Amino acid sequence: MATRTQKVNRAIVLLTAAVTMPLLMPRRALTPRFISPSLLVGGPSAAAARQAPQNKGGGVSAEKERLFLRKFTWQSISKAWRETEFHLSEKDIKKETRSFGVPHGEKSSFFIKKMGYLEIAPNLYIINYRQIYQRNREYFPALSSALLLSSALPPGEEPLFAFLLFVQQIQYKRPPKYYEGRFIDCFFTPLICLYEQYGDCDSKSLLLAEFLTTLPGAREKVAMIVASRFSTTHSILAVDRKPLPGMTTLYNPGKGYFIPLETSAPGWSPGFISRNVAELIRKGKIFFIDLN
Amino acid sequence: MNETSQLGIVSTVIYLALIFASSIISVLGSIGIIRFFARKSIDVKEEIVKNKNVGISLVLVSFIWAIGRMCIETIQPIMNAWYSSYAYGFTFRSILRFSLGILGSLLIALLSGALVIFLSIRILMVLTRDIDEWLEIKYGNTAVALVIAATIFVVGMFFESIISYIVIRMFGF
Repeated sequence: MATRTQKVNRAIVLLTAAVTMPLLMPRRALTPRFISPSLLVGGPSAAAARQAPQNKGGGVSAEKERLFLRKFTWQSISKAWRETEFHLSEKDIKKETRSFGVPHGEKSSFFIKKMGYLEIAPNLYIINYRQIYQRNREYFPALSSALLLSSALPPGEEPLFAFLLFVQQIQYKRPPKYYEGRFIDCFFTPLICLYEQYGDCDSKSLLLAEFLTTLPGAREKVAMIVASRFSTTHSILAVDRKPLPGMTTLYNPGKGYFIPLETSAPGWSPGFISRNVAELIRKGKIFFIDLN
Repeated sequence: MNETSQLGIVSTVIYLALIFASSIISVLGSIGIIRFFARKSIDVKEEIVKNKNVGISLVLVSFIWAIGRMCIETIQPIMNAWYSSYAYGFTFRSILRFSLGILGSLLIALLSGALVIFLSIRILMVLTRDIDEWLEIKYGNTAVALVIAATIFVVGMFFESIISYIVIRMFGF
């Protein structure tokens, strides 16, 4: 026979369960929810409609296939100004635009996953960086070589810092939520980032990953680091290097040491990140996403 | 960026020199600040070694911690500037600028530490007008020393986060 206290306790437990269970249960048959890692505190407004391409350098050259010319002017390690030109195939741009993003109202889990998202819980999606990285590899060998050539590095000098400087100097601007009628969750895939000539933290980080790993003979191991806590979410790239003195380091058991690369703004050397992000890494509030 | 390269060796030397300079500044600065605040009535060395005054050593520890934290916060922007602007080639002028930047940063750290200590002690003095803290500490009142040390730790923790920002803004690191 249960005492009065036991009955009261049992009632409290049942009441708590009744309140919390619906919150814990997966919400099926609802609109898919997307977790965006592209929010940066203090960044531009989220209310972004489709934006027109800006600062397009050059025009379109037409032979057998249409090519878009994109010119970037940037300052190298030696403080000399460099000019890099990329010829982007219209066919590739169209293919890439069609390969990422979900049309409005699409609810099929299979389709959403195919279009560059990863389902981490029922109806809860994040951007599938690894899938996008792997798909974009086919476009980048020529682009990476063009960047290396324009960097004019001395023989034997590795391109990590030069490529980081290049990506840092691409305009930081948050992509729109919808692009070409598809929900892209404020993320540009590497090729589109280059085409549009702007991007935010995760767009630029993945772009740098492509440049670093698609050079002939490159054996870089790269990973996306998504640091998140409360409303602060930020993405950086990590590359497997033994750190030099003063650098922030990430150690992944079985994979070794990684140093972070901050692509959002100029002024950060390899291995140096802001105090807030370093704090999040120290506390383990990060997702470590291997790309290769 | 091979760690065995010349860059690795030079960077290590700079990093160690910065840590060594920070330690020296923290200890000497702390002793100087105690003498200044106590109006030269306390000989730190004599109080700690001869009189085994725990109160003085507690206050000294908190001072060293406060100034040391400020110095450590300046090391990251200095090393960042080293790798980004100077490590891949420099001139006499750029090295001179870098050295002056280091000196200025460490001076800022010392002044920030002194400001933290000054603020902490002022806060306590406002709250306890009828007590001469330094006299109490000199006579071995560990409880008063503990309160001063704790106040410095707390104020120091708030201040350390803005030091690197000040250094970056002032010296372009």
